[in-house]
Amino acid sequence: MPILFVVVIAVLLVLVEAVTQNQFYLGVFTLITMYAVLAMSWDILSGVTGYLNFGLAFPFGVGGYTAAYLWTAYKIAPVEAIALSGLSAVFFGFLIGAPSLRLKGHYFIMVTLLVPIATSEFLDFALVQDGSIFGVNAVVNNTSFVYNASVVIFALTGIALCAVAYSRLGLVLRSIKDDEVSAQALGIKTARYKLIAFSLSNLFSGMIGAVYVFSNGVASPTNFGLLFSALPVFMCALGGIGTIVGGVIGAFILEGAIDFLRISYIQDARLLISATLLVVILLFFPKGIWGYVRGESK
Amino acid sequence: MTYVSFLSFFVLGLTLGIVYVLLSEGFALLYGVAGVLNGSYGALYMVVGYSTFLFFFYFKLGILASIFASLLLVAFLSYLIQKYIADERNTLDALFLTLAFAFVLQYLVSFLQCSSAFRSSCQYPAFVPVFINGSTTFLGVSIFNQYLVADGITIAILLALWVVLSKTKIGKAIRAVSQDKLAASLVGINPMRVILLTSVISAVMAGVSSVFLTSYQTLDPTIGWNIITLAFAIVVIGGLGSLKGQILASFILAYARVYVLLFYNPLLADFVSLALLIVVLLVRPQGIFGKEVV
Repeated sequence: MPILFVVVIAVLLVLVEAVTQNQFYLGVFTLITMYAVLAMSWDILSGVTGYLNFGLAFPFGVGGYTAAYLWTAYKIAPVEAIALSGLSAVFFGFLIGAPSLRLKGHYFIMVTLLVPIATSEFLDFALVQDGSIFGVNAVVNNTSFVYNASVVIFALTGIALCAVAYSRLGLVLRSIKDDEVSAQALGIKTARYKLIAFSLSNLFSGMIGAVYVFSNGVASPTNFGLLFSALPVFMCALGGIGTIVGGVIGAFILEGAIDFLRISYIQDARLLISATLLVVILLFFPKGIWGYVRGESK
Repeated sequence: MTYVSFLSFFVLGLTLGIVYVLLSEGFALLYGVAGVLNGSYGALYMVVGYSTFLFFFYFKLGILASIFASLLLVAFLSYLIQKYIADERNTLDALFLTLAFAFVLQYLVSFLQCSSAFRSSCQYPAFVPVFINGSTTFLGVSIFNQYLVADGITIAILLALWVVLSKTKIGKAIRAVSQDKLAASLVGINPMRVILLTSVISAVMAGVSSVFLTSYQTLDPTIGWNIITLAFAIVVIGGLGSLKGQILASFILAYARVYVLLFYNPLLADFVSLALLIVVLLVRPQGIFGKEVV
Protein backbone atom coordinates (compact mmCIF):
# COMPACT_ATOMS: atom_id res chain seq x y z
CA MET A 1 0.00 0.00 0.00
CA PRO A 2 2.60 2.66 0.91
CA ILE A 3 4.86 1.64 -1.99
CA LEU A 4 1.88 1.77 -4.33
CA PHE A 5 1.13 5.27 -3.08
CA VAL A 6 4.71 6.40 -3.84
CA VAL A 7 4.60 4.84 -7.32
CA VAL A 8 1.29 6.55 -8.10
CA ILE A 9 2.67 9.92 -7.01
CA ALA A 10 5.81 9.39 -9.10
CA VAL A 11 3.72 8.51 -12.17
CA LEU A 12 1.56 11.61 -11.60
CA LEU A 13 4.71 13.74 -11.38
CA VAL A 14 5.91 12.32 -14.71
CA LEU A 15 2.49 13.09 -16.20
CA VAL A 16 2.76 16.70 -15.02
CA GLU A 17 5.84 17.11 -17.17
CA ALA A 18 4.12 15.43 -20.11
CA VAL A 19 1.15 17.79 -19.83
CA THR A 20 2.79 21.13 -19.17
CA GLN A 21 6.12 22.71 -19.97
CA ASN A 22 5.24 25.74 -17.85
CA GLN A 23 8.46 26.65 -16.00
CA PHE A 24 6.58 27.88 -12.95
CA TYR A 25 4.62 24.68 -12.41
CA LEU A 26 7.66 22.49 -13.05
CA GLY A 27 9.66 24.58 -10.59
CA VAL A 28 6.99 24.26 -7.92
CA PHE A 29 6.68 20.51 -8.39
CA THR A 30 10.48 20.21 -8.26
CA LEU A 31 10.49 21.91 -4.87
CA ILE A 32 7.60 19.78 -3.63
CA THR A 33 9.41 16.64 -4.77
CA MET A 34 12.62 17.73 -3.08
CA TYR A 35 10.88 18.40 0.19
CA ALA A 36 9.05 15.09 -0.10
CA VAL A 37 12.42 13.33 -0.37
CA LEU A 38 13.71 15.24 2.66
CA ALA A 39 10.57 14.44 4.65
CA MET A 40 10.81 10.72 3.88
CA SER A 41 14.51 10.79 4.80
CA TRP A 42 13.66 12.44 8.09
CA ASP A 43 10.98 9.88 8.79
CA ILE A 44 13.15 6.78 8.37
CA LEU A 45 15.37 7.84 11.25
CA SER A 46 13.26 10.09 13.41
CA GLY A 47 9.72 8.97 12.72
CA VAL A 48 10.49 5.28 12.91
CA THR A 49 13.15 5.08 15.65
CA GLY A 50 12.09 8.14 17.64
CA TYR A 51 15.49 9.82 17.51
CA LEU A 52 14.44 13.34 16.56
CA ASN A 53 16.85 14.75 14.02
CA PHE A 54 16.51 18.55 13.85
CA GLY A 55 19.48 18.92 11.54
CA LEU A 56 18.50 17.47 8.20
CA ALA A 57 20.05 20.58 6.63
CA PHE A 58 23.47 19.08 7.38
CA PRO A 59 23.42 16.16 4.91
CA PHE A 60 21.43 18.36 2.53
CA GLY A 61 24.11 21.06 2.60
CA VAL A 62 27.00 18.59 2.54
CA GLY A 63 25.52 16.94 -0.54
CA GLY A 64 25.12 20.31 -2.19
CA TYR A 65 28.67 21.43 -1.48
CA THR A 66 30.08 18.10 -2.64
CA ALA A 67 28.24 18.35 -5.92
CA ALA A 68 29.38 21.93 -6.43
CA TYR A 69 32.97 21.00 -5.64
CA LEU A 70 33.02 17.93 -7.90
CA TRP A 71 31.43 19.88 -10.72
CA THR A 72 33.80 22.86 -10.54
CA ALA A 73 37.06 21.11 -9.64
CA TYR A 74 36.81 17.84 -11.55
CA LYS A 75 34.14 18.52 -14.17
CA ILE A 76 32.21 15.47 -13.03
CA ALA A 77 28.89 15.11 -14.83
CA PRO A 78 25.79 15.99 -12.76
CA VAL A 79 24.42 12.45 -12.53
CA GLU A 80 27.64 11.00 -11.12
CA ALA A 81 28.08 14.08 -8.95
CA ILE A 82 24.62 13.54 -7.44
CA ALA A 83 25.40 9.92 -6.61
CA LEU A 84 28.78 10.81 -5.07
CA SER A 85 27.16 13.61 -3.07
CA GLY A 86 24.86 11.10 -1.45
CA LEU A 87 27.87 9.03 -0.40
CA SER A 88 29.68 12.09 0.88
CA ALA A 89 26.66 13.03 2.99
CA VAL A 90 26.66 9.50 4.42
CA PHE A 91 30.35 9.81 5.27
CA PHE A 92 30.07 13.18 7.02
CA GLY A 93 26.84 12.08 8.64
CA PHE A 94 28.70 9.09 10.03
CA LEU A 95 31.24 11.40 11.69
CA ILE A 96 28.35 13.14 13.45
CA GLY A 97 26.11 10.14 13.91
CA ALA A 98 28.58 7.69 15.40
CA PRO A 99 29.16 9.77 18.55
CA SER A 100 25.74 11.46 18.74
CA LEU A 101 23.40 8.50 18.24
CA ARG A 102 24.21 7.23 21.73
CA LEU A 103 22.61 10.41 23.13
CA LYS A 104 18.93 10.41 23.87
CA GLY A 105 16.00 12.78 23.84
CA HIS A 106 16.88 16.45 24.13
CA TYR A 107 20.58 15.80 23.89
CA PHE A 108 20.27 14.23 20.46
CA ILE A 109 17.93 17.02 19.31
CA MET A 110 20.44 19.60 20.52
CA VAL A 111 23.46 18.11 18.73
CA THR A 112 21.66 17.60 15.45
CA LEU A 113 20.19 21.10 15.67
CA LEU A 114 23.57 22.72 16.30
CA VAL A 115 25.67 20.91 13.70
CA PRO A 116 24.22 22.56 10.56
CA ILE A 117 24.08 25.97 12.27
CA ALA A 118 27.76 25.69 13.25
CA THR A 119 28.67 24.51 9.76
CA SER A 120 26.93 27.43 8.13
CA GLU A 121 28.57 29.88 10.54
CA PHE A 122 31.95 28.43 9.64
CA LEU A 123 31.25 28.58 5.92
CA ASP A 124 30.09 32.18 6.29
CA PHE A 125 33.40 32.93 7.94
CA ALA A 126 35.35 31.09 5.23
CA LEU A 127 33.42 33.01 2.62
CA VAL A 128 34.49 36.33 4.11
CA GLN A 129 38.07 35.17 4.58
CA ASP A 130 38.94 34.10 1.05
CA GLY A 131 36.13 35.80 -0.80
CA SER A 132 35.35 32.72 -2.79
CA ILE A 133 32.07 30.95 -3.12
CA PHE A 134 31.48 27.49 -4.43
CA GLY A 135 29.59 28.29 -7.56
CA VAL A 136 28.37 25.81 -10.05
CA ASN A 137 27.60 26.94 -13.52
CA ALA A 138 23.97 26.07 -13.72
CA VAL A 139 23.30 23.55 -16.45
CA VAL A 140 21.88 25.63 -19.28
CA ASN A 141 18.14 25.26 -19.59
CA ASN A 142 18.18 22.87 -16.66
CA THR A 143 14.54 22.81 -15.59
CA SER A 144 13.76 19.47 -17.12
CA PHE A 145 17.05 17.88 -15.96
CA VAL A 146 16.43 19.02 -12.41
CA TYR A 147 12.81 17.94 -12.57
CA ASN A 148 13.64 14.50 -13.90
CA ALA A 149 16.47 14.05 -11.42
CA SER A 150 14.27 14.91 -8.47
CA VAL A 151 11.43 12.66 -9.64
CA VAL A 152 13.86 9.75 -10.09
CA ILE A 153 15.35 10.33 -6.63
CA PHE A 154 11.84 10.65 -5.23
CA ALA A 155 10.83 7.29 -6.65
CA LEU A 156 14.09 5.68 -5.46
CA THR A 157 13.78 7.13 -1.98
CA GLY A 158 10.11 6.33 -1.61
CA ILE A 159 10.40 2.72 -2.74
CA ALA A 160 13.60 2.05 -0.78
CA LEU A 161 12.42 3.64 2.45
CA CYS A 162 8.93 2.10 2.31
CA ALA A 163 10.52 -1.27 1.68
CA VAL A 164 12.75 -0.75 4.71
CA ALA A 165 10.12 0.67 7.01
CA TYR A 166 7.54 -2.03 6.34
CA SER A 167 9.97 -4.94 6.51
CA ARG A 168 11.58 -6.89 9.35
CA LEU A 169 14.29 -4.23 9.52
CA GLY A 170 11.51 -1.69 9.96
CA LEU A 171 10.10 -3.67 12.86
CA VAL A 172 13.54 -3.68 14.49
CA LEU A 173 13.77 0.08 14.04
CA ARG A 174 10.29 0.55 15.53
CA SER A 175 11.29 -1.54 18.52
CA ILE A 176 13.95 1.10 19.25
CA LYS A 177 11.22 3.72 19.46
CA ASP A 178 9.01 1.64 21.72
CA ASP A 179 11.63 0.43 24.15
CA GLU A 180 15.30 0.51 23.29
CA VAL A 181 16.43 -1.32 26.41
CA SER A 182 14.10 -4.25 25.80
CA ALA A 183 15.25 -4.41 22.21
CA GLN A 184 18.84 -4.62 23.39
CA ALA A 185 17.88 -7.29 25.89
CA LEU A 186 16.51 -9.34 23.00
CA GLY A 187 19.94 -9.24 21.40
CA ILE A 188 19.29 -6.49 18.86
CA LYS A 189 22.36 -4.36 18.28
CA THR A 190 20.40 -1.11 18.36
CA ALA A 191 23.46 1.08 17.79
CA ARG A 192 24.08 -0.59 14.45
CA TYR A 193 20.46 -0.29 13.31
CA LYS A 194 20.28 3.36 14.33
CA LEU A 195 23.36 4.04 12.22
CA ILE A 196 21.82 2.20 9.27
CA ALA A 197 18.68 4.34 9.48
CA PHE A 198 20.75 7.48 9.94
CA SER A 199 22.90 6.66 6.90
CA LEU A 200 19.88 5.93 4.72
CA SER A 201 18.42 9.25 5.79
CA ASN A 202 21.66 11.07 4.94
CA LEU A 203 22.13 9.28 1.61
CA PHE A 204 18.88 10.52 0.12
CA SER A 205 19.05 13.99 1.66
CA GLY A 206 22.57 14.38 0.29
CA MET A 207 21.47 13.38 -3.20
CA ILE A 208 18.55 15.76 -3.19
CA GLY A 209 20.83 18.47 -1.80
CA ALA A 210 23.00 18.03 -4.88
CA VAL A 211 19.97 18.37 -7.13
CA TYR A 212 19.01 21.55 -5.29
CA VAL A 213 22.45 23.00 -5.99
CA PHE A 214 22.17 22.18 -9.68
CA SER A 215 18.80 23.89 -9.82
CA ASN A 216 20.05 26.95 -7.94
CA GLY A 217 23.41 27.17 -9.64
CA VAL A 218 25.21 27.95 -6.41
CA ALA A 219 26.17 26.26 -3.16
CA SER A 220 26.17 28.73 -0.29
CA PRO A 221 25.94 28.64 3.52
CA THR A 222 22.17 29.10 3.20
CA ASN A 223 22.03 25.47 2.05
CA PHE A 224 22.49 24.64 5.73
CA GLY A 225 19.53 26.89 6.61
CA LEU A 226 16.98 26.25 9.31
CA LEU A 227 14.08 25.70 6.93
CA PHE A 228 15.71 22.62 5.38
CA SER A 229 15.78 21.14 8.87
CA ALA A 230 12.40 22.37 10.03
CA LEU A 231 10.07 21.98 7.06
CA PRO A 232 10.58 18.20 6.62
CA VAL A 233 9.76 17.73 10.31
CA PHE A 234 6.51 19.65 9.94
CA MET A 235 5.66 17.82 6.74
CA CYS A 236 5.98 14.49 8.52
CA ALA A 237 3.94 15.79 11.44
CA LEU A 238 1.24 16.92 9.00
CA GLY A 239 1.09 13.66 7.11
CA GLY A 240 1.75 11.23 9.92
CA ILE A 241 5.01 10.42 11.66
CA GLY A 242 6.62 7.03 11.11
CA THR A 243 4.60 6.21 8.01
CA ILE A 244 7.12 7.40 5.35
CA VAL A 245 4.29 8.34 2.95
CA GLY A 246 2.94 10.84 5.46
CA GLY A 247 5.87 13.09 4.66
CA VAL A 248 4.91 13.08 0.99
CA ILE A 249 1.37 14.23 1.80
CA GLY A 250 2.77 16.89 4.11
CA ALA A 251 5.18 18.11 1.44
CA PHE A 252 2.35 18.52 -1.05
CA ILE A 253 0.19 20.43 1.43
CA LEU A 254 2.85 22.68 2.95
CA GLU A 255 5.17 23.38 0.03
CA GLY A 256 2.15 23.47 -2.28
CA ALA A 257 0.53 26.11 -0.06
CA ILE A 258 3.75 28.12 0.10
CA ASP A 259 4.20 28.19 -3.67
CA PHE A 260 0.74 28.15 -5.16
CA LEU A 261 -0.31 31.12 -3.02
CA ARG A 262 2.01 33.27 -5.13
CA ILE A 263 -1.03 34.86 -6.71
CA SER A 264 -1.90 38.54 -6.85
CA TYR A 265 -2.51 40.36 -3.61
CA ILE A 266 -2.19 37.51 -1.12
CA GLN A 267 1.31 36.57 -2.19
CA ASP A 268 2.93 38.67 0.54
CA ALA A 269 0.97 36.76 3.12
CA ARG A 270 1.59 33.30 1.67
CA LEU A 271 4.13 32.27 4.33
CA LEU A 272 1.85 33.54 7.08
CA ILE A 273 -1.10 31.64 5.60
CA SER A 274 0.95 28.46 5.21
CA ALA A 275 2.24 28.61 8.78
CA THR A 276 -1.29 29.19 10.10
CA LEU A 277 -2.56 26.29 8.02
CA LEU A 278 0.19 24.15 9.57
CA VAL A 279 -0.83 25.06 13.12
CA VAL A 280 -4.51 24.44 12.39
CA ILE A 281 -3.90 21.02 10.84
CA LEU A 282 -1.57 20.02 13.67
CA LEU A 283 -4.21 21.11 16.20
CA PHE A 284 -7.00 19.08 14.65
CA PHE A 285 -5.12 16.06 13.25
CA PRO A 286 -2.57 15.22 15.94
CA LYS A 287 -1.83 11.85 14.33
CA GLY A 288 -1.33 13.35 10.90
CA ILE A 289 -3.51 13.03 7.83
CA TRP A 290 -2.31 9.58 6.78
CA GLY A 291 -2.87 8.36 10.32
CA TYR A 292 -6.37 9.85 10.24
CA VAL A 293 -7.21 8.17 6.94
CA ARG A 294 -5.86 4.82 8.15
CA GLY A 295 -7.71 5.16 11.43
CA GLU A 296 -10.99 5.89 9.68
CA SER A 297 -10.73 2.96 7.30
CA LYS A 298 -10.17 0.45 10.08
CA MET B 1 46.78 40.12 27.15
CA THR B 2 47.15 43.51 28.72
CA TYR B 3 45.62 44.48 32.02
CA VAL B 4 42.92 46.65 30.50
CA SER B 5 41.83 44.17 27.86
CA PHE B 6 41.67 41.45 30.45
CA LEU B 7 39.43 43.67 32.56
CA SER B 8 37.18 44.50 29.63
CA PHE B 9 36.96 40.80 28.87
CA PHE B 10 36.00 40.12 32.47
CA VAL B 11 33.42 42.90 32.69
CA LEU B 12 31.82 42.34 29.29
CA GLY B 13 31.52 38.62 29.89
CA LEU B 14 29.92 39.28 33.24
CA THR B 15 27.34 41.70 31.84
CA LEU B 16 26.43 39.38 29.00
CA GLY B 17 26.41 36.28 31.20
CA ILE B 18 23.90 37.75 33.63
CA VAL B 19 21.40 38.45 30.85
CA TYR B 20 21.97 34.91 29.52
CA VAL B 21 21.00 33.56 32.94
CA LEU B 22 17.70 35.42 32.78
CA LEU B 23 17.05 34.28 29.24
CA SER B 24 17.70 30.63 29.92
CA GLU B 25 15.96 30.59 33.29
CA GLY B 26 12.74 31.77 31.65
CA PHE B 27 12.92 28.85 29.25
CA ALA B 28 13.91 26.33 31.90
CA LEU B 29 11.25 27.41 34.40
CA LEU B 30 8.38 26.71 32.04
CA TYR B 31 9.98 23.46 30.91
CA GLY B 32 10.35 22.34 34.50
CA VAL B 33 6.78 23.17 35.45
CA ALA B 34 4.82 22.30 32.30
CA GLY B 35 7.14 19.53 31.13
CA VAL B 36 6.90 20.91 27.61
CA LEU B 37 9.62 22.62 25.59
CA ASN B 38 8.23 25.94 24.44
CA GLY B 39 9.21 26.23 20.79
CA SER B 40 7.82 29.77 20.65
CA TYR B 41 10.18 31.13 23.28
CA GLY B 42 12.49 32.72 20.71
CA ALA B 43 9.54 34.13 18.82
CA LEU B 44 8.26 35.80 21.99
CA TYR B 45 11.67 37.40 22.38
CA MET B 46 11.46 38.68 18.82
CA VAL B 47 7.90 39.96 19.24
CA VAL B 48 8.91 42.05 22.27
CA GLY B 49 11.60 43.79 20.23
CA TYR B 50 9.19 44.60 17.42
CA SER B 51 6.30 45.66 19.60
CA THR B 52 8.54 47.98 21.59
CA PHE B 53 9.58 49.55 18.31
CA LEU B 54 5.96 49.79 17.23
CA PHE B 55 4.67 51.35 20.45
CA PHE B 56 7.56 53.76 20.62
CA PHE B 57 7.74 55.04 17.05
CA TYR B 58 4.18 54.67 15.79
CA PHE B 59 2.05 55.14 18.87
CA LYS B 60 4.55 57.59 20.36
CA LEU B 61 4.35 56.13 23.83
CA GLY B 62 7.24 56.87 26.13
CA ILE B 63 9.97 54.28 26.17
CA LEU B 64 9.06 52.84 29.55
CA ALA B 65 5.38 52.68 28.62
CA SER B 66 6.31 50.96 25.35
CA ILE B 67 8.35 48.38 27.18
CA PHE B 68 5.59 47.67 29.67
CA ALA B 69 2.99 47.45 26.92
CA SER B 70 5.21 45.00 25.05
CA LEU B 71 5.73 42.87 28.12
CA LEU B 72 1.97 42.78 28.70
CA LEU B 73 1.37 41.82 25.08
CA VAL B 74 3.90 39.02 25.16
CA ALA B 75 2.65 37.74 28.51
CA PHE B 76 -0.84 37.54 27.03
CA LEU B 77 0.50 35.78 23.94
CA SER B 78 2.34 33.28 26.06
CA TYR B 79 -0.84 32.67 28.08
CA LEU B 80 -2.76 31.97 24.87
CA ILE B 81 -0.04 29.66 23.56
CA GLN B 82 0.03 27.69 26.79
CA LYS B 83 -3.75 27.54 27.12
CA TYR B 84 -4.82 26.74 23.58
CA ILE B 85 -1.77 25.26 21.86
CA ALA B 86 0.54 23.52 24.28
CA ASP B 87 -1.90 22.32 26.89
CA GLU B 88 -2.92 18.69 27.46
CA ARG B 89 -0.76 17.31 24.67
CA ASN B 90 2.11 14.94 24.71
CA THR B 91 5.58 16.46 24.71
CA LEU B 92 6.27 15.90 21.04
CA ASP B 93 2.98 17.32 19.71
CA ALA B 94 3.35 20.35 21.96
CA LEU B 95 6.91 20.95 20.73
CA PHE B 96 5.87 20.74 17.08
CA LEU B 97 2.86 22.98 17.62
CA THR B 98 4.76 25.66 19.50
CA LEU B 99 7.54 25.59 16.88
CA ALA B 100 4.93 25.94 14.13
CA PHE B 101 3.36 28.81 16.04
CA ALA B 102 6.77 30.47 16.22
CA PHE B 103 6.77 30.43 12.43
CA VAL B 104 3.30 32.00 12.43
CA LEU B 105 4.57 34.83 14.63
CA GLN B 106 7.70 35.25 12.53
CA TYR B 107 5.80 35.48 9.25
CA LEU B 108 3.13 37.68 10.82
CA VAL B 109 5.82 40.14 11.87
CA SER B 110 7.54 40.12 8.49
CA PHE B 111 4.14 40.54 6.83
CA LEU B 112 3.30 43.54 8.99
CA GLN B 113 6.77 45.00 8.63
CA CYS B 114 7.16 44.76 4.91
CA SER B 115 4.43 43.87 2.46
CA SER B 116 2.31 45.55 -0.16
CA ALA B 117 -0.43 45.98 2.44
CA PHE B 118 1.85 48.00 4.72
CA ARG B 119 4.22 49.62 2.29
CA SER B 120 5.02 52.66 4.42
CA SER B 121 6.70 50.64 7.16
CA CYS B 122 8.97 48.85 4.73
CA GLN B 123 11.66 51.47 4.42
CA TYR B 124 12.83 51.58 8.01
CA PRO B 125 14.79 48.85 9.67
CA ALA B 126 13.18 48.19 13.02
CA PHE B 127 15.21 48.61 16.16
CA VAL B 128 14.78 49.03 19.88
CA PRO B 129 16.18 52.40 20.90
CA VAL B 130 18.98 52.53 23.42
CA PHE B 131 17.00 54.08 26.23
CA ILE B 132 19.70 54.75 28.77
CA ASN B 133 22.42 56.85 27.28
CA GLY B 134 26.04 57.26 28.13
CA SER B 135 28.65 54.97 29.49
CA THR B 136 30.49 54.58 32.75
CA THR B 137 34.19 53.99 33.08
CA PHE B 138 34.78 51.29 35.58
CA LEU B 139 38.33 50.17 36.43
CA GLY B 140 39.48 51.59 33.13
CA VAL B 141 36.80 49.76 31.15
CA SER B 142 34.04 51.71 29.49
CA ILE B 143 30.63 50.05 29.71
CA PHE B 144 27.31 51.22 28.33
CA ASN B 145 25.10 52.43 31.15
CA GLN B 146 22.30 50.39 29.69
CA TYR B 147 24.26 47.21 30.31
CA LEU B 148 24.77 48.19 33.93
CA VAL B 149 21.05 48.86 34.35
CA ALA B 150 20.30 45.61 32.53
CA ASP B 151 22.43 43.67 34.96
CA GLY B 152 20.91 45.42 37.97
CA ILE B 153 17.37 44.72 36.82
CA THR B 154 18.22 41.16 35.82
CA ILE B 155 19.73 40.39 39.21
CA ALA B 156 16.72 41.98 40.89
CA ILE B 157 14.32 39.85 38.84
CA LEU B 158 16.28 36.66 39.52
CA LEU B 159 16.42 37.40 43.25
CA ALA B 160 12.70 38.19 43.32
CA LEU B 161 12.00 34.96 41.48
CA TRP B 162 14.12 33.05 43.96
CA VAL B 163 12.30 34.63 46.92
CA VAL B 164 8.91 33.91 45.36
CA LEU B 165 9.81 30.32 44.56
CA SER B 166 11.28 29.51 47.95
CA LYS B 167 9.22 31.60 50.37
CA THR B 168 5.72 32.24 49.11
CA LYS B 169 2.71 30.00 48.74
CA ILE B 170 2.52 30.54 44.99
CA GLY B 171 6.18 29.61 44.66
CA LYS B 172 5.60 26.43 46.62
CA ALA B 173 2.68 25.62 44.34
CA ILE B 174 4.90 26.14 41.28
CA ARG B 175 7.56 23.85 42.70
CA ALA B 176 4.96 21.27 43.67
CA VAL B 177 3.56 21.16 40.14
CA SER B 178 7.03 20.81 38.69
CA GLN B 179 7.67 17.82 40.96
CA ASP B 180 4.39 15.98 40.58
CA LYS B 181 1.29 17.33 38.88
CA LEU B 182 -1.05 14.67 40.20
CA ALA B 183 0.09 14.94 43.80
CA ALA B 184 -0.14 18.73 43.55
CA SER B 185 -3.74 18.55 42.41
CA LEU B 186 -4.51 16.18 45.30
CA VAL B 187 -3.51 18.84 47.81
CA GLY B 188 -5.73 21.44 46.21
CA ILE B 189 -3.42 23.12 43.71
CA ASN B 190 -4.85 23.73 40.26
CA PRO B 191 -1.92 22.66 38.02
CA MET B 192 -3.45 24.34 34.97
CA ARG B 193 -3.48 27.75 36.64
CA VAL B 194 0.04 27.30 37.97
CA ILE B 195 1.32 26.37 34.51
CA LEU B 196 -0.40 29.36 32.93
CA LEU B 197 1.10 31.65 35.57
CA THR B 198 4.53 30.18 34.92
CA SER B 199 4.17 30.69 31.18
CA VAL B 200 3.43 34.36 31.81
CA ILE B 201 6.48 34.71 34.07
CA SER B 202 8.60 32.94 31.48
CA ALA B 203 7.44 35.27 28.71
CA VAL B 204 8.19 38.33 30.81
CA MET B 205 11.71 37.02 31.41
CA ALA B 206 12.22 36.52 27.68
CA GLY B 207 10.82 40.00 27.13
CA VAL B 208 13.09 41.73 29.60
CA SER B 209 16.20 40.11 28.17
CA SER B 210 14.98 41.01 24.69
CA VAL B 211 14.60 44.69 25.60
CA PHE B 212 18.19 44.81 26.78
CA LEU B 213 19.86 42.65 24.16
CA THR B 214 18.06 43.91 21.05
CA SER B 215 19.01 47.53 21.71
CA TYR B 216 22.41 46.90 20.20
CA GLN B 217 21.36 45.20 17.01
CA THR B 218 18.90 45.57 14.15
CA LEU B 219 15.74 43.59 14.56
CA ASP B 220 14.98 40.82 12.17
CA PRO B 221 11.98 38.45 12.27
CA THR B 222 14.37 35.51 12.48
CA ILE B 223 16.40 36.58 15.54
CA GLY B 224 14.26 34.37 17.76
CA TRP B 225 15.82 31.19 16.41
CA ASN B 226 19.28 32.06 17.70
CA ILE B 227 17.76 32.91 21.05
CA ILE B 228 15.83 29.70 21.50
CA THR B 229 18.89 27.73 20.42
CA LEU B 230 20.96 29.62 22.96
CA ALA B 231 18.46 29.19 25.80
CA PHE B 232 17.94 25.51 25.02
CA ALA B 233 21.69 24.99 24.77
CA ILE B 234 22.37 26.63 28.13
CA VAL B 235 19.68 24.54 29.78
CA VAL B 236 20.93 21.31 28.24
CA ILE B 237 24.62 22.04 28.90
CA GLY B 238 23.98 23.04 32.48
CA GLY B 239 22.02 19.88 33.07
CA LEU B 240 18.23 19.81 32.96
CA GLY B 241 16.81 21.04 36.24
CA SER B 242 20.09 22.30 37.66
CA LEU B 243 20.11 26.04 38.33
CA LYS B 244 23.78 25.97 39.35
CA GLY B 245 24.75 24.29 36.09
CA GLN B 246 22.66 26.73 34.13
CA ILE B 247 24.36 29.76 35.66
CA LEU B 248 27.76 28.22 35.01
CA ALA B 249 26.82 27.37 31.42
CA SER B 250 25.57 30.93 30.85
CA PHE B 251 28.87 32.38 31.95
CA ILE B 252 30.95 29.86 30.02
CA LEU B 253 29.08 30.70 26.84
CA ALA B 254 29.16 34.44 27.47
CA TYR B 255 32.90 34.40 28.19
CA ALA B 256 33.66 32.17 25.21
CA ARG B 257 31.76 34.57 23.00
CA VAL B 258 33.38 37.70 24.43
CA TYR B 259 36.83 36.09 24.23
CA VAL B 260 36.48 35.34 20.54
CA LEU B 261 34.95 38.76 19.90
CA LEU B 262 37.74 40.65 21.65
CA PHE B 263 40.85 38.65 20.99
CA TYR B 264 40.31 36.45 18.01
CA ASN B 265 37.87 37.19 15.22
CA PRO B 266 34.38 38.65 15.68
CA LEU B 267 33.12 36.68 12.71
CA LEU B 268 33.88 33.42 14.46
CA ALA B 269 32.09 34.28 17.72
CA ASP B 270 28.97 32.25 16.94
CA PHE B 271 30.87 29.36 15.46
CA VAL B 272 33.15 28.93 18.47
CA SER B 273 30.32 28.88 21.00
CA LEU B 274 28.37 26.40 18.86
CA ALA B 275 31.40 24.14 18.43
CA LEU B 276 32.02 24.32 22.17
CA LEU B 277 28.41 23.28 22.81
CA ILE B 278 28.66 20.32 20.47
CA VAL B 279 31.87 19.13 22.11
CA VAL B 280 30.43 19.43 25.62
CA LEU B 281 27.33 17.51 24.57
CA LEU B 282 29.35 14.70 23.05
CA VAL B 283 31.82 14.44 25.94
CA ARG B 284 29.45 14.99 28.83
CA PRO B 285 25.90 14.51 27.58
CA GLN B 286 24.23 14.78 30.96
CA GLY B 287 25.44 18.37 31.26
CA ILE B 288 27.76 19.91 33.80
CA PHE B 289 25.68 19.30 36.90
CA GLY B 290 22.95 17.09 35.46
CA LYS B 291 22.02 13.91 37.24
CA GLU B 292 19.88 12.42 34.53
CA VAL B 293 21.32 9.10 33.40
CA VAL B 294 21.88 8.98 29.67
